[in-house]
Amino acid sequence: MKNNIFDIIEIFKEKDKNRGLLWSVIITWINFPFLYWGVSSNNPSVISLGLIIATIGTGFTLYFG
Amino acid sequence: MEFELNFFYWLLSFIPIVSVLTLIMALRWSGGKAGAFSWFIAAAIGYIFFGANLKLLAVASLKGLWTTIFILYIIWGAMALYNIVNKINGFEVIAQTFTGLTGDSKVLQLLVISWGFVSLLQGVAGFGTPVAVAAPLLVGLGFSPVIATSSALLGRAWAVTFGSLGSSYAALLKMTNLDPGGLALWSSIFLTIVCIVTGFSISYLYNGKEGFKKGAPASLAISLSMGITLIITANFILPYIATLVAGLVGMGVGTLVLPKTRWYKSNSVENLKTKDSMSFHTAFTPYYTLLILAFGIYLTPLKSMLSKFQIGLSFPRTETVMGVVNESTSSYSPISVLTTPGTLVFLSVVISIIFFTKKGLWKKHYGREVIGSLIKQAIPSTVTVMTMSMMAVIMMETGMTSFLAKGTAEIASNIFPAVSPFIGILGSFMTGSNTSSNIVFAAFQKNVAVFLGINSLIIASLQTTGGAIGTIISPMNVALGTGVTKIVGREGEIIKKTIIYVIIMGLSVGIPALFLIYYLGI
Repeated sequence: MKNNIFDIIEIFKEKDKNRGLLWSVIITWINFPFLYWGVSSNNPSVISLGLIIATIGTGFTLYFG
Repeated sequence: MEFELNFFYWLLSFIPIVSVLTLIMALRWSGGKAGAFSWFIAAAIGYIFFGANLKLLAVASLKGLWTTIFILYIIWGAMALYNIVNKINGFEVIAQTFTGLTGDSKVLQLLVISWGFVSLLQGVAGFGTPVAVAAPLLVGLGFSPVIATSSALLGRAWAVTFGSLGSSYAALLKMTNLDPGGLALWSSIFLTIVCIVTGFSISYLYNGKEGFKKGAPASLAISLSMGITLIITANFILPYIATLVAGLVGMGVGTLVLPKTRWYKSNSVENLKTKDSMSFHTAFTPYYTLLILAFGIYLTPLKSMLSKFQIGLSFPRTETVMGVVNESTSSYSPISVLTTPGTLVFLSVVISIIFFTKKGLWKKHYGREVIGSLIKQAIPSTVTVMTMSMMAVIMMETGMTSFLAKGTAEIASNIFPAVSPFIGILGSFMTGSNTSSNIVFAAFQKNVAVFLGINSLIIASLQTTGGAIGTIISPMNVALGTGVTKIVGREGEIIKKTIIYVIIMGLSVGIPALFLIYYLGI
């Protein structure tokens, strides 16, 4: 595991599987409270945005997995 | 017309499962990648054909993720504990001790390492570790790589459900919401049957009828001791440590009792001391700690005191256009933070590090290295569990699982208990994991049982038993075995050698279950 897990450009350039998947997990869990707030407050815009972020997390998994 | 419509929806409901199957098997995608894609497919089918709105999809995905916290907490803890012992070369000492104790009977050596030791490792770590550690050890002891790999795969299967500190059992609980006590009871009974078949299977695999005959006393003694221990621990103490305790007892019988009997008497039995600077007991301290904590909390009034502190999320009511309603809940899948197995494991991690530091075995830089290997090892299974769980809950909340279950109940109504373990086998064959098999199929199997009006505890237990058995022939696990024994490319040979035992094990639980349900009416 390289030191700088936050260097997205390097992760994409090297297609670093471990750090890429770690990012997909991080994105998913950061998105969790946001999406939860969306469904609890019944806010369609937040729900849509939360689902888009979830799809980006899925994209990370599909790219690096 | 209505049948056609239902049949169409039944087929549609199958697509996410077929997607996981095809992507993993045909395109050789990882579990996480296939899970992510299938989550997207399930959401799209739910939205387009089952009338789910975005809120329902969001709620289902959140519920799926929330469910995984309990499972991931155990997985990460188990892997951390394994890495700590591995870092101080503890497993070398543990393996060396057990090998020395088995004397010169080859069949006993094979049974103790590939079955007892593998079960013990499965109890504490899992995720391929038992095969990766035991198979090369067997090759080093003179067994052929094919026998070593096949035996380790066979020996591990029965131990999977309650192994890895019970992560597959946890998945079964979360996906079915059935009575934990009932699931522990039936699962431990069916797994004990598989355990009995395992010893004889390994002996026969090793040397045909001759091996079967020589290995029979050990097979019987080890299987009964491990099976009975599993049933007692799972039902009266704590299911999450059942395989760990059973594996310890099996190792004890295989190394301390059997070498002294007339069948395996040997002159070269060694003591529990190794040539290494570290003793067996020191290397095993993290697991002793876990056992003490588990017994101390679960068998005393501490449990009821500490279990009061629970965290569960509230979720709103959702409904599809087709009328599938998911009622609102104030505390979905609550977690008892202080008594959940993950907390006990992480507490053991901290205590073990303090102990090893005091003994001078733990160096400062080990912590960083362990975290590095932990992330590397646990992230793939984390992504798999997360994505598959989200997919499974979407299937449940959009009504797909019910459609699947209804259709299957109509097709296989009279023989379903005999078919049930083979669905579990299929699940782990395609995903390589008992946990993933339970996440994908447990709710479906429970629903079929409900539609047929038969015992859903038995059916859910057959699911996890099948899920455990299927790990033997899962291409991912087989490839791991051939990789560590350096026979890459001979995976087909291993599957060919073991598939017959997989079928026997499946039938050995499916047929008694059929009898229990339809003839005894249980």
